[in-house]
Parts: sequence; C-alpha cells; structure tokens
Amino acid sequence: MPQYYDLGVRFWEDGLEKYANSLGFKSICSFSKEGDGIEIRAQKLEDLKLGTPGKIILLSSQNPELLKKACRRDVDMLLFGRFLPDVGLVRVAAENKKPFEIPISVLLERKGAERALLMSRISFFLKICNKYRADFILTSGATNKFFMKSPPELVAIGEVLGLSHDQAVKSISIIPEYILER
Amino acid sequence: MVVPTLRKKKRYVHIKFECPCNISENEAQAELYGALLSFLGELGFSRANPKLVEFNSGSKSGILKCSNTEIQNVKAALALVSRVKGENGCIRILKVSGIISKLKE
Repeated sequence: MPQYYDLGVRFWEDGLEKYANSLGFKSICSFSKEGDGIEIRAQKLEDLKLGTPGKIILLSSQNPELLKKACRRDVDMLLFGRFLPDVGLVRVAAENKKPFEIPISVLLERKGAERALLMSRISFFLKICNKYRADFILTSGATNKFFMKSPPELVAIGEVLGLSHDQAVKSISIIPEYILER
Repeated sequence: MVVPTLRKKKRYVHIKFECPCNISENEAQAELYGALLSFLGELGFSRANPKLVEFNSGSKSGILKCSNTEIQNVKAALALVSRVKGENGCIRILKVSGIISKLKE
C-alpha cells in the first residue's frame, strides 16, 4: 500500500495536517509562511536567490529558459504555468531529476472551454514528460480546504489527463517521497 | 428482464457534499448531473449512466450509481466541482463499491 503526499498546498490553517490525514495523505507540504515549502515566482535570472536549507523549494516561472537554468541549481520542484510542450526544458529537467508540479487547482479555477483547453495542454505536457522520462507530481495546489483532493480523486484526474493508473499513483507517492527524503 | 450475462456492471459511489449551505435531494441531483454533464458531455454522460440512488440531506451524503467502465471519469468529474449552489464547496468521494450494502455499513 503506497503512502501518499500532497506537496502543493498553498495555504495554512490550524488542523490542516489532520484534515489531510483524514483524506488519506501521510504528509503535506504547504507553500505558505507557516509551511515547509518556499515558492519562488521568478521572472528574471536575479530572482533565483535560492538556498534555504530544510525547506522544499518550488520554482514557478512562465519562462522556460529560466526554468532550464534553475534545473542546474538547488531547486526541488518546477512549475511551468503555461504547460507548453517545451522539449528542451523537459529534457533538462529529466537529466537533473527535477520534477514538474501539476497543480489540479488550475483546472478547478476554470470552467468550460478554458478548462478543456488547459486539460489538453497539460495532457500533452505529461505525454512529453513520459516520453523523455521527466518526473512530475500531481498536487492539489489548494488555496482552501474545498480545493484539497483525496489521493483516489487525484489518481482519477491523472487518468483523465492521460496517465496510466500506475503513473498517477507514482506521481503522488514515490516521487514526492523521494523529494522529501532529499 | 435481461439475462444476468447481458446486464451492465455498475458501481456505487458514496458521496458527500462539503459546503456551508443546506442541500435537498433535488438540488443535489441537479448539482451532480450538471457537473457530470459539463465534464463528460452528453455522450460521456450516456455511457456513465449515472443515477442518484439515495440522498440524506441531513448528512449531505448519498449514493450515486454509475457504469463500472466509466467510474474513473465520474470520479474526476466530481473531484473537479469547486462550487455548490453558487458557494465555495466540493463533492467528496468517500467510497466506491459494487454492492450497495457495503456502502451502508
């Protein structure tokens, strides 16, 4: 029985860990002031001021060149918000074993055609990740309790995005565990 | 009467609405069908063949029946609900089973 982790919570409140445990997660990582993670939203190279020991560093950028440079630095996860199929970026991430975060909240915040087109982009991005063996992590990206999803729900969404059952399970269990151990 | 070998296999999904508002059976059915229809489309909805078997408005939980081949799509459709009756809320999937009595335990 794998143990599940949600490494992409974007808020913090009292009893959140207990709530996550009741959903089926062993542990979560919150990118908030009280949490164990730091989210760096980089727009230019000078923003890459890293190096906070003991914290999980997520680099979020719309610029693939910046993310490529970050791959060679001390970053734990990458978030490419546009989910464009940049083969160069995916290959560099795969070589440096830096996983991409896929937050489900981006789908929850959209409706109709916008959501459908984003699902199509994420689906193709995941296909490229699988082709070049880059890692990815499905996270809730939750900004409130209602956006938090249980592991079976994340697996179901992963399968809808074109992953196999095993790939979806791996992306919320083995890969996050590896990041936490690092 | 359809012979057992021709009967379509089904799954029962135990669901629970998490929202600050009260919700009746009719409203719950409308929310569920709306979410499934918008995510799966008419063709996917017909394949999933969902039906709200029972609903308890006190605990805001109920049992949804659907086709077993489409269970992952139904789960994804329900997981992507972010608003209930116009307010922040979600639909939690508590358990999935092939036998309705297992969900009532």
